[in-house]
Amino acid sequence: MSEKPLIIEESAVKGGDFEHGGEASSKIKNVLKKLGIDNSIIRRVSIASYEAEMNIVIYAESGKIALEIFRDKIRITAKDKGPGIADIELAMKEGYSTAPPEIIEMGFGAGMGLPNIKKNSNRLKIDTKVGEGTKLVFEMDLK
Amino acid sequence: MTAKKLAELIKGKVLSGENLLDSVRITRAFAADLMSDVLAYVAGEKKDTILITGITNLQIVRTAEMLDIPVIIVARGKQVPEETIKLAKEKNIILVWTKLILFVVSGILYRNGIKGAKINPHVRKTSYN
Repeated sequence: MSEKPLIIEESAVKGGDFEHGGEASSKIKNVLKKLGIDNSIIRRVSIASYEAEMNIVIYAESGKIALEIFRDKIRITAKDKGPGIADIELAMKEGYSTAPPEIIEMGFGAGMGLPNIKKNSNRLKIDTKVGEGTKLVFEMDLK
Repeated sequence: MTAKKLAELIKGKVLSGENLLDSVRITRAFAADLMSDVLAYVAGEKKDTILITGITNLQIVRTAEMLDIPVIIVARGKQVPEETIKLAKEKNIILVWTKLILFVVSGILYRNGIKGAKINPHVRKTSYN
């Protein structure tokens, strides 16, 4: 599994920047479209990547989203400097959210993000440390 | 139904994608203010499902972009920020504004044959016995 990715694309994401939140995922979607990747996979990657990106915008100070394309899979890494996740088990529950009301008024923080990332991926790994940040790595297999 | 017919039915004002009204055809809709729910629930890759919402920020366009949703209806007569309209134009997404509330928009479209969106089979199913 030490095969090198064929393509790497990385974008910075700023915490609190709702105006540009989503641009990184939009870029990823366009790269995949240009490569002619299957639509159903593009859709899963786009949804998961956008959820991860909005989590950085909503909760973290700053972060990065990286796309790596391998011969047999797509990997997204979303890494942030932020509060971290205190209880991953709770965060993985649909409907559980720590988002403040003003975020919910914007249409986010429904507690669907992480479960939705998991459901759209073949593998999801979460590394998090309270007070430091979170790193999500998720992969979608290319058939 | 064409997007044009849809806009007429709800007495909507088209804020972006005027040139696409005749070519975009829709058969399904999802109504929500929580974009997280839209992202989790809406299935289907046919680009025939629209979003009806009371939210006006940029993220409605981003959400539509990720899900290949071709039309967004902003209900309740809320003023749509210029940047939302600009992004919708950039992404070739039709944005329709109406004074009608979400319930009425949904009712009109349902009566005219628009069905509910296909729902992802993997979302939680709660049952009460």
